[in-house]
Amino acid sequence: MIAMTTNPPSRTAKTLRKMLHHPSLVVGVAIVAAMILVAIFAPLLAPHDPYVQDISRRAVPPVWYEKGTWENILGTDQLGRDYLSRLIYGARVSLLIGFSVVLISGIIGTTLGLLAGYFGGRVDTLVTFIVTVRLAMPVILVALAVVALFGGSMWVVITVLGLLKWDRFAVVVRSTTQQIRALDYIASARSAGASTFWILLREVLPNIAPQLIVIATIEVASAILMEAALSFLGLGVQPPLPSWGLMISEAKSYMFFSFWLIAIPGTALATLVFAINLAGDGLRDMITPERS
Amino acid sequence: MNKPLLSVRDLRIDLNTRLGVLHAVRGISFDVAAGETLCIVGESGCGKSMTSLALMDLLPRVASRSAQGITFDGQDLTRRRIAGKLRGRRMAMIFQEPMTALNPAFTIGDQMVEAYLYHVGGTRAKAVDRAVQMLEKVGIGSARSRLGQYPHQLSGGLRQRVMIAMALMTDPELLIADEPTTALDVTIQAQILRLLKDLQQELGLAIILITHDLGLVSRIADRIVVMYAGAIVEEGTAAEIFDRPAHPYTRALIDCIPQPGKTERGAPLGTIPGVVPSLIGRQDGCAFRDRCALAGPRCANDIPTQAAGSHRWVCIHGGRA
Amino acid sequence: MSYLLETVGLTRRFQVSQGMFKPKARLHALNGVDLRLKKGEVLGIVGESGCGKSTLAKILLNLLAPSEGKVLLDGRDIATLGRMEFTRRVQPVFQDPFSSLNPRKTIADIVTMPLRVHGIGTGAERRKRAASIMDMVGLPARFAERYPKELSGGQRQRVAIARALVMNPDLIICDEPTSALDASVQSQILNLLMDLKRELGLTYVFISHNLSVVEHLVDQVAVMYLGRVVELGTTAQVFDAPQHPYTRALLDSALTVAPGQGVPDIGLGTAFPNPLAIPPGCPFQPRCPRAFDLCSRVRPQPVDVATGGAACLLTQEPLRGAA
Repeated sequence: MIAMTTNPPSRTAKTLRKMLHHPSLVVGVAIVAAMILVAIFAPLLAPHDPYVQDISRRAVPPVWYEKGTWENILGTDQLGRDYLSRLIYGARVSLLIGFSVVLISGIIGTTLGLLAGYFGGRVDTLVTFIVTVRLAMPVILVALAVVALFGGSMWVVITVLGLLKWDRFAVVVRSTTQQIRALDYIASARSAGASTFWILLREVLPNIAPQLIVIATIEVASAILMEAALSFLGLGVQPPLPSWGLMISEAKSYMFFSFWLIAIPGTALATLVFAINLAGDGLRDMITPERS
Repeated sequence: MNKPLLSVRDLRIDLNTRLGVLHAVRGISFDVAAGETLCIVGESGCGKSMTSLALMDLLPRVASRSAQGITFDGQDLTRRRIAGKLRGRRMAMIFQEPMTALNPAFTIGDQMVEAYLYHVGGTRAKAVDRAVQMLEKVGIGSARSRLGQYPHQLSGGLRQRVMIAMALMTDPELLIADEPTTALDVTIQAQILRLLKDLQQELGLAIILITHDLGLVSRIADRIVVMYAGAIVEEGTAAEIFDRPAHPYTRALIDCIPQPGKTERGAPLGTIPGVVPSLIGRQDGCAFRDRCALAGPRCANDIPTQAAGSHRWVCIHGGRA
Repeated sequence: MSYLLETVGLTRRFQVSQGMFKPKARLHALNGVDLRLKKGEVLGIVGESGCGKSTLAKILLNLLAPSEGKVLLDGRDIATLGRMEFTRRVQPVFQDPFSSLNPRKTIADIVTMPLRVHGIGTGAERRKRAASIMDMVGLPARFAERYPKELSGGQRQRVAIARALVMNPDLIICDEPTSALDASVQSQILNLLMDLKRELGLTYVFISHNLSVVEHLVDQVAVMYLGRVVELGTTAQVFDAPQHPYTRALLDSALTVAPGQGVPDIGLGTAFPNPLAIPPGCPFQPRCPRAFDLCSRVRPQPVDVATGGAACLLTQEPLRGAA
């Protein structure tokens, strides 16, 4: 092994430099970051209030059409609400739901996976059984049923999806934990007197973090799409909240007349999901050579 | 002296890394005569495994090989087509880890027969008979029923025997063994080595055995090549290397291992200070000089090869303990 | 005479699945192991795969509970000692320098981890202690902020040793600590272990398959085969005058530097030891070059931990005349 004689660069610096070698990662992260910033600064960026209706200005096309004006850059919807503002506030809904769902499902799935992978035996059998039961459930249908029972709202959607979408976390965390469990540094930690809680939190978790991040990015995209689907079906976020899925749903009757009403939120949704997947792919590429 | 079976001249292997070109093997030359055992010995990173892969044209893609000549029985091994015909047929190789060298998804019989049919042809029945014959030769009982077994059903020692049997299917003249017994228990190791020696006697097989185990080498080698940092530093018979080690590295290495009867129990063992130098970039002079007790300013220049009969070493010092 | 470490009738069984449709098999990893070790001594454990030495290491480290028998530390059963008290006194050094260090922690974190777990000292005190231990094992101070993958195998093993020493333990269990290292690095680590033993008054259990190394380092040695101690004695007794045929075979197979002497014929045959199917009578008898008919019917008496000797019918009193 070559002896190191100079001070190596910091870990963050090395990671950042590595990221630059993966253009897909950079593009994906840039787009997602832009959307997050838009969502955060929505009140400053939106030209109008997204809830204010103005029947006199219904279905005004975007500015690049003949009849468009700069007053409403992306036009207005069938109730006269400024579309750009609704789009910007819609980003909030999508991202909030995406991240909240992943937070809840991530905690549930990771905990189950850690316990199953570390303890094995009966705990593993129990967790595997729970995962199998969960996998046997069609998520959308269960979500629909719950929403039908409790009514649709952003928090119902987040709760339902969060309590259902933890399976991938559990499965991956379980197998990674099993591999790590067999390594000597876990035995050393036990020999040092560390409690199981300490080992799981401070020895195992940091080593599965890379995989967790990759799965989290996939699940964020999936959660956003699922919310859009639910809202499209009328069982997710309720009007007048500007969810992109809801906007698509409201616009479907006008699809042939005011095409932009569907195209604009659809494009935004597709771009966000695409960017998240790019970022996830890039992260995976970045992490995998490190492991070999 | 008879024409050697295998002749290597100025073999160089470079690896492209992000930090530059790594010279894993820096111009080595050696011969192997028919029926002789040559041991290439050295520590990790010395280039011995790379050398064996280079002979079989099995180097990874990032490695590039160049040589003034690599000939097997007069044929030029640097030509891909020739190497392809000889590899697995007249030159065979066995590896350290029997589990990964044998395909776990296929039976022993399938694997042995496949190699034979590919190189020699003929009917499957004949190939199966030969497989049984080879398994018996390596000392595996109830050979015919073993053919249907999978690698995971056998112990490590048995798997290694199967690998040897597989290598011998095509009646090769040269067997290259890369750390063949490192992963085995000592009692099994002794059996495998005896087997190799017996087969060598019986079949006139030449063996190149790569290892880091000096004790093993002292027992079975006809000739030994000691490698350090990609180059050969000493070469000779077992008696020459161990009774009269000439190169400071060889001497230091021998002093590192506890020798029952020779080293005093509990006394500090010999050590080699420092670390192996980086193999990236140009290398001038002796690669061992940063760690050598006898190093001097002349060691930074080209080092001559000294010889005493078949015993050769690359050092400016007289050597000879 | 008080012993730092004692094992009494240590036995460990495992249930091993044989596939979906066959009943589980019983694996006897350890069977009635008796050992004793005084403070400041080194006990060597030698044996090949399946002999139970890794299981023994885990039990000695309290990572695994025995099925029967007990381990005594200074006369007290380790099953009754608290986790904290035990781990302050007994520490491991494992074989693989690559997997024994958490790749996501710095060297300083790794070395101070036991201190943090036990809540010993403040942050500054722990750092000082880490620095002094790193110095003692020959690691330069600048390695403190490095990560394991930046270090060589020998350096990583030094880190593992530093971590083992940081709480001033009494007993170190070394499980093949140098088997994964090159010869020149191995000698450095072995010298280090010997120096530390003298300087700090440590006691070692040294598990290894490398007989030359064991012979060089230990005061007494236990030879294990299929979960039992088949021979026990001082280094001189076992290595100069081995009594058990397995010990002799092991010693003959250890290829020492002896140019021109070739590889000896051990005469063990090709049967391999299977801990799932231990033969009746003496477990070594299928491979033993000196077995006679009684060996497959009568199990030899276990080795007396006080006097040592071999678990072999050939050496045990009542039959000496009959053999």
